[in-house]
Amino acid sequence: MEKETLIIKYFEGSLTQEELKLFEQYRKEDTSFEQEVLFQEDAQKVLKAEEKANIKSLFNQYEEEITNNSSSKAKNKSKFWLVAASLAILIGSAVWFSLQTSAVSSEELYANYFQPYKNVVHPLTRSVQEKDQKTIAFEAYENGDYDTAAHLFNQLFSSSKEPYYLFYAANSLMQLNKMDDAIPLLEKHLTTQDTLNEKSVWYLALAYLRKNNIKEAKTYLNLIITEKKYNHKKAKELLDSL
Amino acid sequence: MIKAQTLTLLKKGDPKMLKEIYQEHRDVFMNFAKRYDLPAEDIVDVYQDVIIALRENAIEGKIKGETSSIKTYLFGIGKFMIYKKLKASQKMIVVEDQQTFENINFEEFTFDSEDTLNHRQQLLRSALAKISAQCKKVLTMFYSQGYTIEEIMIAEQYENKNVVKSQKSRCLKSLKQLISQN
Repeated sequence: MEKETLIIKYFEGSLTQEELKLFEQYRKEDTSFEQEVLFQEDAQKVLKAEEKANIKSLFNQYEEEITNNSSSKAKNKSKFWLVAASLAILIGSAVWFSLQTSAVSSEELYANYFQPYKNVVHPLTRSVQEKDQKTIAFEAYENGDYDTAAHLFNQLFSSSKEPYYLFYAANSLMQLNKMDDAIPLLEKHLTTQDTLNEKSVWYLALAYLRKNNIKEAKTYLNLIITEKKYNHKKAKELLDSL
Repeated sequence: MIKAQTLTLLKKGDPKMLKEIYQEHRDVFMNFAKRYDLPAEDIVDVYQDVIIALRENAIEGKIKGETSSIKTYLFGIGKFMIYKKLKASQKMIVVEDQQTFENINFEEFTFDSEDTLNHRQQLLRSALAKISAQCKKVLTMFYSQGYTIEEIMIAEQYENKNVVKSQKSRCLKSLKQLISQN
């Protein structure tokens, strides 16, 4: 067998036992044969190392792609958060809208329950010719002229300090949907010894309900219920519907 | 089971096949390797070397496609390489049951071949950069990718084996001349 073929078979790994013996023999006895085998072994090592380095750099490239993908996944994650945030806004809007809806229902509830407290302070007689300010105020109140009534009750309270003027002024203002003006008057009325002041608790609850301040409304309603104040049955009913 | 075509492409170092293997088994391998006390970057390094070793062993004809899957080989080689690394860093003193994995004797396998080149080999590397593309291809196929002369003849559509042999001889001669010129 040709020496060249023997070397080829050695690299192919296809030497038979006999050929291998011959191969080893040549390596020992023939210097140029040994030199050739060593040269080709060197070539094999260099070529393998080169390929390995190329594959390794390919793998690092794949690894980079994977890392980039996961960072783009992270970007997608932030996209996810963006979407989640948008959803949260949507849901928030929906909740807000439903709160608005419940504001409407608070408004409806308020409308169902609110009635200006009747004039129990100054019964009006049609026959009175000369009307004092107090009469004009209550007439305006009974006639539904709440603007005038509120204005006059305020003046009357300032001059007389009669606590019930606070209460009727607040009632007038509530009719005018001026809860922010009514509430301080009701709260002030509560601090007085007026016989009507327990009614102010009910009106405060309604004023807060109208403002959609359910928390405050509930506080006053609970107070009415536990202390069995004015309208406590209605208060229970209203509280249950909140 | 490993398809013959997969093994051929693996031996050839086909980038598409390498990528497919790399991506298909990476996460499972990383997960499996987590149980060993190795830093993540070392695990990535081991995984890459495992595929390279798989390829080398396929070239050397040690991968039996009819009996086991690529995954079995990857995990077997991987386990072996991790043990070797842990042993080297003295993190593992007693190594049990590392010779076989799923009835494959990995003792016979080639792991992590030494890549340091001596002076003669470095001269050879410079010469290899200067030879023709076809020469480089034939030499790479024969010495690095495990092709036989006959397989090169078929793959590269040479007329007969002697043409391949002559081509290879001429290429080696060119290399020798280039080295002697240095």
